[in-house]
Amino acid sequence: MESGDKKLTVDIIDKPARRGLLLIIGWVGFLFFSLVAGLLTTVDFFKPKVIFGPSSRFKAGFPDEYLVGKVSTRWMKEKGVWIIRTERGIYAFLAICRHLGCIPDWVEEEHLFKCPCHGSNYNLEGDVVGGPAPSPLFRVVVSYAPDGQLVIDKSIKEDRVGVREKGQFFLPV
Amino acid sequence: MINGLKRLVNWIIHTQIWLSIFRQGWPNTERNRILTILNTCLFHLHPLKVRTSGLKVKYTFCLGGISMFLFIVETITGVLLMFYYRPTVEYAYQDMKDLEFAVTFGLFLRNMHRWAAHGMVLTVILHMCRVFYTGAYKPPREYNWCVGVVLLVLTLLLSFTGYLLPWDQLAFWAVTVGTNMAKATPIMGAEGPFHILSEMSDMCFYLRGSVNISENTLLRFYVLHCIALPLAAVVLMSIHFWRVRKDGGISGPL
Ligand code: HEM
Ligand code: HEM
Ligand code: FES
Repeated sequence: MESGDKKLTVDIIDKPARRGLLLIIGWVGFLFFSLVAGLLTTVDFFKPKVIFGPSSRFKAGFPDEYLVGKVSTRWMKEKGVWIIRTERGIYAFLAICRHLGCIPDWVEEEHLFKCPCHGSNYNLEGDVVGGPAPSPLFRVVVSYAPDGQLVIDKSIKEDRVGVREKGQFFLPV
Repeated sequence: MINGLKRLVNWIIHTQIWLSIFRQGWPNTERNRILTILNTCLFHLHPLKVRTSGLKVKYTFCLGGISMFLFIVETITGVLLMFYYRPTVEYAYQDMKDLEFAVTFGLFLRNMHRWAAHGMVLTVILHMCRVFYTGAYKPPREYNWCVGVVLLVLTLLLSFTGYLLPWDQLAFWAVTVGTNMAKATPIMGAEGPFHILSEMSDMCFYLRGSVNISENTLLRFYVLHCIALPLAAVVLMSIHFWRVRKDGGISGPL
């Protein structure tokens, strides 16, 4: 009888305490996860899932249409690339200044790509020879289509010395 | 004649319409003046009494008030511009031209919006300098200084987002350069130190809504410029003005 009474008291004090702890864990967990989920959803909302625009791959005509030793500005306006043919082959630059993203001009007389925004200058290797740009111009992939035309793919770009002059970034002609 | 006028005035100020708008008498006694301030929505934003030192033009130079005035000018001219401006790549530049050459007073509106925008940036910065030089940032006003800093940032963001809207060469390249800087953000920028995000998910991409400045960017900046940022500014200005009073009115001379 006495021991039974004791047990009853312990139970009554114990149970609400444990329930309280569970309640706290439950609520904190619930609020934490709703907060994180809400935050992530909001961030994700502001990220567009579909972007409309011209394809980054395009056919650029036959290699013979490009003169040796010349920088071609033929695709500048439409696609924003320069195509350059040397004695050994063909490579292409993305016409985006590596400083803050303006479009440089090819200046034939000086043999330099010159950016009008803050005056970065690049040589025929794409290396910076003046101005604030921190890195060289990007080169993009040049390959052949089955019909023998050049295909330029702007989605893959490279600016590291030693990598950018070889492989898919240089097409021997 | 004079008597007739007096009778007319007397009749007007006893109509129900007049009495419903002005609930106190003519403000020619101390009591009625206080009631006028308390009962009028716009006046009640002002304190009942101000320190004479705070009224000296050379203490505040009215710079906070001028900033507020220019913001109101911006809101009115901005809303009027919105009647003719469409934020799409196809129409934006064309609409700017129409505003200049075809809309009645359109050129004047544009110029007013632009000059008031430049003016507001200037007066807000000068206001901050005034607050600094009079030591008005010190307790109990340190919270209001922080509200002010956010207001300054909002003002600059309004200028930046508005700058893209004309969609001309200047706007396009200025915003290209401006948003490209976000790529250099540590961790969150695609080209910054410790970068972990790609060009398709970094800060710059979120700002532009695409890899390059595009239709998405124009729409984003338009919504921010005409809705989100002005709303945020109004809320913060309300807090700012309320705090000026709760902190004991304009600070006194040092
Ligand atoms: C602090 C407040 C504001 C600042 C600093 C500001 C700044 C600017 C700037 C610099 C432009 C480009 C003007 C031009 O090139 O002619 C602009 C354009 C515009 N703003 Fe604002 N703005 C402010 C408030 C507002 C508000 C409150 C609205 C509308 C509710 C608004 C609506 C517009 C519209 C529709 C344009 C495009 C028309 C145009 O460029 O002339 N602005 N704003
Ligand atoms: C949109 C921008 C702003 C508006 C419309 C505005 C408006 C005002 C107004 C009307 C006053 C009353 C006194 C006066 O006119 O000088 C005031 C006071 C004050 N403002 Fe601003 N303000 C703005 C931005 C700022 C900024 C950028 C700061 C500081 C970073 C700031 C800090 C303060 C402080 C501390 C006071 C109290 C000054 C005192 O008691 O002497 N405000 N503001
Ligand atoms: S963007 Fe080309 S030099 Fe700054």
